Amino acid sequence: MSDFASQVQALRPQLLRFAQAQLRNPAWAEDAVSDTLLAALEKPQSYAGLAQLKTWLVGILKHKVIDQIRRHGREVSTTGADDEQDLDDLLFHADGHWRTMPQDWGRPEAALGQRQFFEVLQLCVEQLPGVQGRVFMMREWLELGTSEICKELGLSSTNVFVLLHRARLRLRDCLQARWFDPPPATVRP
Amino acid sequence: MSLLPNCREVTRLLLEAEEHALPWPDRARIRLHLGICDACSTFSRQVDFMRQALGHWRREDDNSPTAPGNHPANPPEA
Repeated sequence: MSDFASQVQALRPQLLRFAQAQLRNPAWAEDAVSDTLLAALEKPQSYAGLAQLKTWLVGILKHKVIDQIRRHGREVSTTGADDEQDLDDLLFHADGHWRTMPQDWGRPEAALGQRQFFEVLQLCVEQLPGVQGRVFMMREWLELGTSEICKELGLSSTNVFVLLHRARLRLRDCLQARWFDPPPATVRP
Repeated sequence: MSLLPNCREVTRLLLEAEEHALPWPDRARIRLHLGICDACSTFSRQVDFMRQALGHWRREDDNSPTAPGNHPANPPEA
């Protein structure tokens, strides 16, 4: 296998991880990644450096993932979108005041320079439940507009806004619990 | 919504602002409230933090190693 081909293959697990985070279906994720690798290996792409290769592959992957969504989007049940306990009730008293003071997270630069932070962020996004997670990924990873998300998943814009609201609150809670609360892990074995 | 929304309503507006531009009365409500509420000001900074973080994550400038066995962008940890 050529050097380029083996570099592309080596990135397969990470591509699969992104595809799975969006599609929440192993078979569709596999298809998207296979299509991506095929497309990548067909192109006589000059290999300029690993960082660029990953970015380039993820760009192709996003298109293939969108293809999967267009093919399967409405097959996935979107019921249960309203079942979830309102996070707002957990955060606020009946009179609308905070139950607990939000914590100061400090300067973003401190966290954004650490690989572990992005591991935690990725994990938190992957743990967003069901349709909440898919809508969040469509907005934040695929950067789709509201009307496109509505169209692909058969949801109203109100639904979509409620789901994004909950997703962001849940993401905030997850980052608080997994990054800002624990003592900073500066050394890993 | 009243001219003086409570924290719950303001946080809903702050998150809604992530999806689309808010009409100016809502922007005014937010500004008024943040001027007198430390909790919501802190929350607003958390929302900004997440937006920045997601931007980096989306663009892959996250210092993650790009292949097994590759050296991470940060110095190896002891």
